[in-house]
Amino acid sequence: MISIQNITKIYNRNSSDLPALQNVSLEILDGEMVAIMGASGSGKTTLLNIIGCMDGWNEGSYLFNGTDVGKLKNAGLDRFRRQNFGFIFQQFALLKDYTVRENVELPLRAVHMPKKKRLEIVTDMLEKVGMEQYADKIPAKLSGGQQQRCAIARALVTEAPVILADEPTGALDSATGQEIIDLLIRLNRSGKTVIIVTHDEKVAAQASRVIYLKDGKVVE
Amino acid sequence: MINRLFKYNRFFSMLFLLSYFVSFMIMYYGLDLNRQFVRVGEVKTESAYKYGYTVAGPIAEDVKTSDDIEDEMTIGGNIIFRCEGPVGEGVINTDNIDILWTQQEPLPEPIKYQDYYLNGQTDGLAVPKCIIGDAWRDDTYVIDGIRYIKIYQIESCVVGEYLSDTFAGMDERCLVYRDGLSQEQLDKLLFATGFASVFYKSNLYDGRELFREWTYGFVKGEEKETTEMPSTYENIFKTSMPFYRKAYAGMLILCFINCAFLASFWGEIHLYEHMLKRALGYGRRMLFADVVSRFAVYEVISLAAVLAVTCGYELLWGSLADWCDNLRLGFGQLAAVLVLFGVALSLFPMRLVLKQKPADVLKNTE
Repeated sequence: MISIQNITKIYNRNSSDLPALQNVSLEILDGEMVAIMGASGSGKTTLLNIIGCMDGWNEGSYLFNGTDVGKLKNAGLDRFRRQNFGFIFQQFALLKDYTVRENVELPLRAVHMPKKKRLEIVTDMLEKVGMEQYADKIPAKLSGGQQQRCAIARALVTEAPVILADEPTGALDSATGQEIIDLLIRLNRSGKTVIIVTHDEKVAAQASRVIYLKDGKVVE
Repeated sequence: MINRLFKYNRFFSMLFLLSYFVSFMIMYYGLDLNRQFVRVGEVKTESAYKYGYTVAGPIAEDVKTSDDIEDEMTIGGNIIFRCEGPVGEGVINTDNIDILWTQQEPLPEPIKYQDYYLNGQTDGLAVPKCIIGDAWRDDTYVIDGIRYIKIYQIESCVVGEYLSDTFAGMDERCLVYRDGLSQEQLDKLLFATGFASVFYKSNLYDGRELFREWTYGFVKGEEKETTEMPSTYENIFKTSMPFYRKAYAGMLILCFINCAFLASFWGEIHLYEHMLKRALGYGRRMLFADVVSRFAVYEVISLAAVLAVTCGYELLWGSLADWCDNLRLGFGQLAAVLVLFGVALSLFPMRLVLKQKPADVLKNTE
């Protein structure tokens, strides 16, 4: 379970403080599919970063399955992140000179997994997302939807329990976007906790719960 | 292919390779690979250039580098050094050299060839003295317009040209060579010498020993008009700094150029890649190892390429002996300098990477 209590995040821009999140509290249970909605600048990406241990915060506490994330530092934090979270980015965040296979296996290299086992897992994951025939292609040769499938496969290879998706359909047409959402729903039904940041109400409507943010605060 | 190897975009990949080419050219000319090694005490009758010398007799000091050249012996723009003592090995890293060597007896005051012509002297001083043994006029013969004097023994001599006793007309030239030489050796002696100072004697004039010293130059296959001033005085002899200094300078330039490119586009391109890897769970140590190992691979590849090209050049157009000397003179040290320096500089972009938060990669994707 993800438990965030009174989290405040302040950015310092040009010598002035910009509060990105203000006393945000929420809980996300294992196996939920939660959508975080809000206008641009509402703090939803910041919240996703904090949940994913990619950014810090100024005040508050964050517990993940009882672990106080705030007490983790550097190597511990990196390990915690790769063990528990898979990331899906809006613009896919694939390395353009790496093939699909090489992109997907990146998280597995972080844990020093042997090459043979890496290939097995990557091949299996690509089959699950329907990308096995594109394993040796570079991202530039793929459509937006295919790239996002590749990114999803990368997010899944470590079998992390939580999938964080930042506007996963933002760069896709509606049909392709829906395919991606369907894939995420299937992942959620398989037991993954899925947290989606979106400004698209149609996407949010398919989640089990929606958290609304406005000006860095949770709106009931 | 290049992109997959380097994981850079094409533009920076080509810049990276170009930097190595530029570095190689700087190092090549800085190293002055077209230099000549002359071993004092050995005959280098075949060299990549025109000059070779026979040194016989006592040689005192091994001349190691051009720093040992005695400037005060410069004559007409040439740099000349003197060797005295037992015959030994010394490597002189110069391009063109004239050699004077001692004899058993003290050297007489040299008479400059130029001065001779200026002074218009026509007395016995015009007759060269051969100290290498006796040579009789009847033992001379002409080959292709060049008169040869057959001698019986060489004690202290350099193979060069000898003006005939018809000095006034200067229409004959003689080459002194050692008895028993084959035609092939003779040819080598003929054409492998350049600027030389010759001491020798002959008994062409009823045993009166006269001597002369001059510096005379000629080129392969050419017949010089003896009335001309020797080209010696028109040439510029250049010295080179020791090989290892040039090599270090060249390799440091190589390091700077390559590392500047690496640091630059690592900051732009690989920064994103490394931030993404951090977002995906890569630890800082892994990132650091990734950067250093990749950089080391690139530098090893580049070093191998530079080594292959330079050695290939030496093997094809240079001298194998020189090539071995060059390697012996510190390529291993240079490689160590290159790698260590490159690794040190790679820390700069690494700091940049580690300062960034993984969350920043999300901003870059927008």
